[in-house]
Amino acid sequence: MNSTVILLVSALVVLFHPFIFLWYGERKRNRKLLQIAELALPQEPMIPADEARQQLEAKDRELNAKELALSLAGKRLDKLDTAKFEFVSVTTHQLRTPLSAIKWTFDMLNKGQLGPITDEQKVFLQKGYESTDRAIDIVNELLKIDSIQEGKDNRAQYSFSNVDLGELIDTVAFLFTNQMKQKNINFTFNKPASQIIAEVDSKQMHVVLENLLDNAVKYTKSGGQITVTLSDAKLNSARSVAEIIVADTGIGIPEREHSKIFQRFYRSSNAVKVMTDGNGLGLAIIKDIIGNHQGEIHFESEENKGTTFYLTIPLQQTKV
Amino acid sequence: MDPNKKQTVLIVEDDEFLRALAAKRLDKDGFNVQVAVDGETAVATAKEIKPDVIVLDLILPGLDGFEVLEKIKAEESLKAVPIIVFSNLGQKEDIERAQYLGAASFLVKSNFTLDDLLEKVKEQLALVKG
Repeated sequence: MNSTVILLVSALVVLFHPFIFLWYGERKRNRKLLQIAELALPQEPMIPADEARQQLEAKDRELNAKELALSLAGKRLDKLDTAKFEFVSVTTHQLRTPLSAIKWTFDMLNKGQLGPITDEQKVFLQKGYESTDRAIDIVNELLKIDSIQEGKDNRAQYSFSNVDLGELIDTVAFLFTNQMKQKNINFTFNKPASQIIAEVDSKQMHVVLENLLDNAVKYTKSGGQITVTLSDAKLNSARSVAEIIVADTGIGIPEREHSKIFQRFYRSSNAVKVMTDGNGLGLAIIKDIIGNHQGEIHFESEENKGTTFYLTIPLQQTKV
Repeated sequence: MDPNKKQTVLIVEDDEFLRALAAKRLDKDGFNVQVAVDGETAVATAKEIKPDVIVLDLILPGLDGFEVLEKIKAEESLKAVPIIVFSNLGQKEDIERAQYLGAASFLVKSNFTLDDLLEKVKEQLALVKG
């Protein structure tokens, strides 16, 4: 009986020995791995987790700091906005009011409305009047920059609507009637027979036309000609566009300066001589606005002959 | 209308010196000039004297010029009286708002002389008569 059992066990061992070996080996390896792991545990495995947590915390702090910075920047912008609003109200009212008083006083004295004056006094009064008018011009110029700059390069702030371009040009041209009459400039508006309606921000387009006409009037000598032409010539076959051409017979832009004329604060050398107090922003602003209308602007100019600006804007805006 | 009767201009202006200058200029040209220094007085005076034309400043203590404009245009007996806004405001929004409320004309004070104002007053009176 005993020998039978021994035999059976031996037979089983012989039969299964590869598995027993495998099992044993596996156990041994496992134990070794465990030992390695145990050895490593106290120093190594905690560190990656810790580091990750630290990194996360650092990122979190960084984000919080950024958020704080952003909200501070936002508050600062709000403050600047208020300051700008105050600046506008101060310049409009507080500065213009005393300037009006000085201007009117000089004017009434000068015209003898407050009693007779001598010729010599008249010269001084005239100078006083002119100086006051210069100060008023500066105030007006400052206000113009302010109103032009708000929302100049942010298409998101534009409000597009269908606008009759002919009507818009008429409105803007009307603002220059007196100035053109004074300088004996002949103005022609070639208006198409039918309306041209384009999807524009009328306030911004008003700024564009006002600046172009302002330049044309400023830099055209008396007796000159300003011509505005509006058409919907399909210059670009892919898209229906309106074209506005503003041509003058003014001082022109020297050829070597053509590339710089749309740069902010740049004023052509001959323009500086004619008008000493421009700010060199007009054309840069126009280019921004036309760009925001998905349009294009270019010009042709010859010194002492005149300048022609061509601007095209699509009749319909495409979504961006 | 009696051709010999002086026409009445109501000047609404809170700045004392500007008011005196404008009044003097119009008075010199034969107008009967009445003045008001704030919005409330302007509306009350207008109701009382029924001026032929009103010269109106916008920034005023109390009722501002826009409100005065609104109140006068709402008054049956006054709504035909031409109102010339004569202010140192003059941003596009101000001009549009005044026009919308029924102003006949908008002059930025510092950009005009009192002779220009006189011309405007006469022009508005001629329009009313014509």
